Amino acid sequence: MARRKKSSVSPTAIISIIAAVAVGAGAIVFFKGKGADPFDGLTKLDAGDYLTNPTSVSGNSYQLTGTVTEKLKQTDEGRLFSLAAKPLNGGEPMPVGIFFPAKFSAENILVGQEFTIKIEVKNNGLLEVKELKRS
Amino acid sequence: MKWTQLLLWSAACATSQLDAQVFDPGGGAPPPSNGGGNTTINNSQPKQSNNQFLGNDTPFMDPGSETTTWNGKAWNVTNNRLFRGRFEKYLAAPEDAGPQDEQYRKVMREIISSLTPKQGALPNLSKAVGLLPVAAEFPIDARLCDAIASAIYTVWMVQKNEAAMVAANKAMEKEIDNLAMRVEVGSEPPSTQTTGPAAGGGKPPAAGGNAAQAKQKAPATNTSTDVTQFTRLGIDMQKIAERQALKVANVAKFGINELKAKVEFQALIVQLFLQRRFEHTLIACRCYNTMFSGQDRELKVKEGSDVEKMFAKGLGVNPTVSTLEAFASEAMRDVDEGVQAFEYLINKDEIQTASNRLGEAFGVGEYLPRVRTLPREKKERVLEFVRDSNMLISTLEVKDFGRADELLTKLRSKSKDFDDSKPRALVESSRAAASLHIQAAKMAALSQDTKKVEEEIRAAAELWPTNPELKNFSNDMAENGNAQTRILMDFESLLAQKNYRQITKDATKYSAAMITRPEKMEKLKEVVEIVKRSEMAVVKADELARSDNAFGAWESVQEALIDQPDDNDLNKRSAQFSSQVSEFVNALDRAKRLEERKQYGASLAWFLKAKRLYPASRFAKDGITRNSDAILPDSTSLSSFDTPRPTKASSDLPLDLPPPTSSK
Repeated sequence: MARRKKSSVSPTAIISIIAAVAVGAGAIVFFKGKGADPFDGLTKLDAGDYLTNPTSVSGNSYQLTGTVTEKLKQTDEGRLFSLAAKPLNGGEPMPVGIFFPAKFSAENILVGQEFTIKIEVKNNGLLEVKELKRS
Repeated sequence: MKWTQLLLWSAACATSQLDAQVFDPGGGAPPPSNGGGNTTINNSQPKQSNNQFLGNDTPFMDPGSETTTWNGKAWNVTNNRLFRGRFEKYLAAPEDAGPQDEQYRKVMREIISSLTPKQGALPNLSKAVGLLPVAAEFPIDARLCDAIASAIYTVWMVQKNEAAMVAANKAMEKEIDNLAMRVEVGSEPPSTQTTGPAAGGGKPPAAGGNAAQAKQKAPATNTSTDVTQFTRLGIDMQKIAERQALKVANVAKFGINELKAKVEFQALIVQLFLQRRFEHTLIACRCYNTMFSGQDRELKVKEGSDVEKMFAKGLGVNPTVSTLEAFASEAMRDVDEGVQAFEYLINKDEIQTASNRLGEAFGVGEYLPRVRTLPREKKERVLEFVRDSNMLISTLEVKDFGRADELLTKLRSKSKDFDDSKPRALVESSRAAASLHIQAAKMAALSQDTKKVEEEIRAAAELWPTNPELKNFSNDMAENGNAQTRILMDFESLLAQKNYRQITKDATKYSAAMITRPEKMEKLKEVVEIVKRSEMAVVKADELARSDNAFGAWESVQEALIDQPDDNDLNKRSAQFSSQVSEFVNALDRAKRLEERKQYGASLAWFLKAKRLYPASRFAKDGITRNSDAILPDSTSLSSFDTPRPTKASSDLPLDLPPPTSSK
């Protein structure tokens, strides 16, 4: 019998294909992750400044990380919690009041949970939650 | 002789009033005030309209009440202002012991003596009448002797006219006889013509007059006719009748004149008697008896009049001149006895009785020598007693029992026979009753019964107007009123300063002053309650501080400071504890200020910080609740706080917290 002649795929092509697939997958992952994070670029709130001069920060949005310490009040409009905010430069947490509007009613918020929150400082100095992320 | 004395008293009182010219018996004007002499009593007797002398306007003595009724008024004979005044004047006056007085009395004695019938000698009226003008020259006589002499002269004139009248009547009787004889001759038949003088022997007529003239005219008609004869007879008859009538008229006229002279003389006698001029009464009576001896001596007083009653009721017979003479003599004797009794009693230091006897003697015989010559030194011994007695009467009349008590004590010490039982009983009973009323007024004042106070004070004042207790009570009431006003002003001032602790310290004083001011009392209670809470807060703060809970201590003090921001104790502790919890205080202060600026979120954060520093802080909890409610105004709160007490507004918190001195 005759020996049949073996089919041949060039190894270079195979490597090229694999590399192209890898690059494509990486690009997808890269671009997808980069566009969905809401805290990207948010300034972290300095609780000391807020407590000292709340009007200076009113109307702005900030990022704040802290632990829920107490539920203060709940109405149809939302829930009011006390949050021990982590200061930027360390030290003891600063307790602030955080308002969770009704759109976050589906979120289970419990005392002791730590959140990273996007907040907006209202004119009356209230910190209203815009986005939240469990830590 | 009780009746005699009372009768004389009546006369004395009547003349006292007349001399003093206090009353106008004939007028209808009301009597003048007697200056505190309450002895005048307006009785309800009808007004006397008969004002004729010896009519119904003379005094009448009521022996039962010892009052004299005169012109519708009743007077106590021993106690009236005029008598007391005259008696005091008499006591203070010197005795009438001068040579002129002695000479007067000598003349009067001589007059009375010359009129006194003696054995073998008739009264010498001429001598007495001759001495009357002499006695009248003395001032003390008041020319009464002249009045007697004048009355005697009047009687004499009447009696002289009587003699002339008798002579005239005799002449008329003779003429009547002549006329009767001529009528008798003229009535015979005209056988013989009568041409000569009238029958009767050629004698001239016994008396002149119309009859004689008629007789002289008769011969001129020589050719008389029967007609003329009859006419002449008629004329003679008429003349006889005329003469008879004239004679009767003369007799009647004399009788009237005599009666008139008698009545006038009697009136003088009665007047002298009523004036208590008993010596003059005696003289006048004896003159009357001498001039009208053997005639009717009955006094011609109006039947049923007071004077007639005054004499007739006591004696049972009609009064006569002799009756008055007897009364006058009796009065003089009675006065003598009274003065003798006075002299005896004064020597025994029985001043009251002595003054009474002298007063009686003076009242009856003010003008009698025995009274007038009483030595001044003897009278002076009773003068002060009488003055004090009169003052006692006045003080009792005006109910000045304080002064009356002093006078009673003085009089009792001066006179051992002074009976002070009746006035003392009056003074003491009135005092006791007045004191009871004042006590009742005080009790009423304590119970705020103003009406009762008024009634009791009025009753007390009526009983004893000059009661010093009454004055003290009034002063106390006024002072209490002033003190009450002052205390209330103090209270208002402290209240405005919020010095509640000082108010509470003097709460008892303020409470007493606010009995009548319930609204103030309520305010006082509130203040006391605040201070009580403050003190409890201080105690609590001290206790918490001892257990190292400076936060609690500070909060306790701050809660009390809301009611008492100026309280020293609280502020002192507040400063003390603030330094220990300065961070906590700072958090609350910032929270409060932000809350006031409606920065509820930041305020909530500071309250949360405060709570983190002192979890039991009520201020923090209240602040958190308030701010939470401000952020979420719906009532669907699910606050984790239990709120056992109402939350305070931020404005109730201390506005100016002390600055933190150090950080913890």
